[in-house]
Parts: sequence; C-alpha cells; structure tokens
Amino acid sequence: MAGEAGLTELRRGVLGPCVLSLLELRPRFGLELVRDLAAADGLLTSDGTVYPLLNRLRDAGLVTSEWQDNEGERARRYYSITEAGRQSLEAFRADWAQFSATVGNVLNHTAALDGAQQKGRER
Amino acid sequence: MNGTALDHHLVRDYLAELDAAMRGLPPAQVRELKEQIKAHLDEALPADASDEQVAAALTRLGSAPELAAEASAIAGVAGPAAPVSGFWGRLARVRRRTWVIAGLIVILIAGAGKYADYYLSVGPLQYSNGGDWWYAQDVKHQDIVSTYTATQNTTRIRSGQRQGYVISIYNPTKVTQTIVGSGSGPTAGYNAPWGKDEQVAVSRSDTDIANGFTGESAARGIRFTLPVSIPPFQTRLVRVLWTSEGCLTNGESTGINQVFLRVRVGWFTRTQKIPQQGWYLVGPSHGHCA
Repeated sequence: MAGEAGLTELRRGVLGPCVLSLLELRPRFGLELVRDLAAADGLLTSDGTVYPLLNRLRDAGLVTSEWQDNEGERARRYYSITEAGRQSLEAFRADWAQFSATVGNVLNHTAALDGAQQKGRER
Repeated sequence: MNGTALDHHLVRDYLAELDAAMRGLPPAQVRELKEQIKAHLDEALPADASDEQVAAALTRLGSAPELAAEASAIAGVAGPAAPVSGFWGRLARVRRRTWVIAGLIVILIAGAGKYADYYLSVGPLQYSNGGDWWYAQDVKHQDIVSTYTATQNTTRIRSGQRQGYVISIYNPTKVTQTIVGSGSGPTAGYNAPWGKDEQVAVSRSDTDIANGFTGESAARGIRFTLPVSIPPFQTRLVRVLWTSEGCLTNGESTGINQVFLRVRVGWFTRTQKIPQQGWYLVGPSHGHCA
C-alpha cells in the first residue's frame, strides 16, 4: 500500500492537470472547483490546497482569473483555462496514458516484464 | 445575525493562525491566498453557522501550517515551473550559483576598492635635500645660493651639450615605490631647464647624496637604470640629463625646482611632482649659439 503520505504525493502530481481538465469544460469559481474535485473520491486531501495550486497555474500562464459580479449572485473570482493550459493538458494526457500503462504493466506483472525475466534466466 | 461566517471566532482564529504560518512568504502571495480562503469560507458557510459547521469546514480546508506549506511549495503543477509573481518571486528564482557569483563579484569589487584606496593614498617620494651637477665642468662653475627656505644651484649653460644633475630621492612611506621613468612622458624637457633629449635614471643601491657628492666622478661605479624600486625608508639617486638648447644672453637664466617622475605603487602608476632645489642655467651661451 502507498499509505497516506504516498497518496498525497500521487495527488500532488495529478491535481494540476485535473484542475485544468475541469476548467477545460467551463470556467469555475474557487468553491465550485473544490466541490467538483472533492466529488472525485480521494483526489483532494484538503480543500485549501486548491488555492495555492490555482495561483501557481495562473502564474505559469495556464489559467486566468477574473472577478465576475453577476446579478443576483455574490462577486466571485472565476478561473478559466488558457491556450497554454490546453496544450499543457493535452501533453499531460498523452504522457499519462503512456505512464499509467507502464506502471500498470509493472504492477500487474505483465508479459513484457515476464519476458525480460525469462531472458535473464536463459543466460 | 447581520455578519458573515468570517466573523465567527473560529474563523478569525484560523485566519490569524494562517497569517502566522505564512510569515516569510511574499506579502502579495499571502494577501491573495487569504482573500481566496475568506471567499471560500464566506461562501461555504452560512452567516449563522454553528461551531460544528465551522469546525468541519476548517478541517476540510486543512490546517493553517499545511496550507502555508502548500503555498510555499507545490509539486506536480502541469506545464512550466510556476513562478511566484513580483519582486520576491523574481528574487526566489535566482539560482544559488548566481548568488554565489554575485557574492564573489561584490567581494572582489570591495577588495579591489580597498586595494586601490590603500595604494592611491600612499604619499609621494621626497627630495632628500641634496644634489649636485652631474658633469665636472658644471660643478666647477656652480654658484650655490641658499636661503632659509630654498637652495638654488646655478651653472653656466653649455648650449648644444649634455648637462644634468643628480639628487637624492627618499621613500618616506611603508610601501615600495618603483620609479619607471620621467613624469614628462615622451615630451622631453619637462625636468630639464631649456633642454631636449631628457633622460632620467635611478641608482640601484641605497645611496644618499647629502654628504658631499661631487657629481660624475664620485658616481663612477654606481649603476643608473630604470625601473628601480625604492623600498620603504630607503634613498636612491635620481639622475636627470639633457642636451641644453636655446641661447641665453649674458646674465639671462632658466631653471626648474621640481622633478616629475612616473612612479608605480602596487598596480597603479602615476606621475609624482616632487619639489626640490633649484637648478638654473645662466648665459651667455657660447659655441652652439655663435
């Protein structure tokens, strides 16, 4: 088992792309993002971590934020994905597919690894 | 209740704790994060939230130290490394190696400044109160007039011929000073009364002229050259020779009472103007001017 500390590290690695993925669908304000992420079981350790992450994504040019004061609603800061954010997300999706497949192969003792071990025995 | 959840004592305590935990982070980052947390709590909690509701929301938010730690370093952000904005952010992005190099440069500049201050503040060489004409015929015809404050040594001008004098130069400082040439540079005649082809040279040994130097004959065996270093509190002979030019009428005279030398101290070479006795040539000129 990875344990809580290991899971926290795993979450950190994927939280940024997950935020970008949610913002890809539509702009969201902070609490809305937190609730959507919290709905994905086990993805969010604590609600507060989303805000420093959003600030860093914005400083990196992957998201933008703007205050909106819609009638009948309170003023809220909405976060939107940028073009650079979309490109970064696409790159992560490709990397993730490859990475998760590789990890899955290793964790599940796939044929590729068995083959390598087999070759090692033959020597 | 007219207030908001932000007025709740647990929220106020949490925000104060957050302030303390984020001490040391860039102020702009702290302000922004606090504004986001307040907006979050304001929206997540009703104005009349109970202690239990507030406590649950704060627990979900994470402890203040955890939040501060996240704010100071988050890993796994997609895309390029996320910079912190503003002056502190730019400062934080400066590499350690850059700091080390900048530090070394500052130390070098400070060291060079101190070095320059030290050597540029060193006092000049001094005339050591003694001298003589270099050639015997000039010694033979010299006329020395001394007052309480100055000495003037006059001899006949020999227009078109080499003439010159030799004086003692003393180093009164704690630093070795090296005479590298005439302070007049490529233009001859600066140290020579009405002369050209000036030549300055210095004795290599610690020699004082004060006690009855008799010019060229007495200086045999003394080697004059350049450059010559004068260690602290030592004396050298400085010889200035030139070819006298111009023609003086009977009783007309010309002369100098200071010598200009190029002197190197440490890495710095500068011209020193050294006051000395007066060396005068008097007419009438013969031969060359006839």
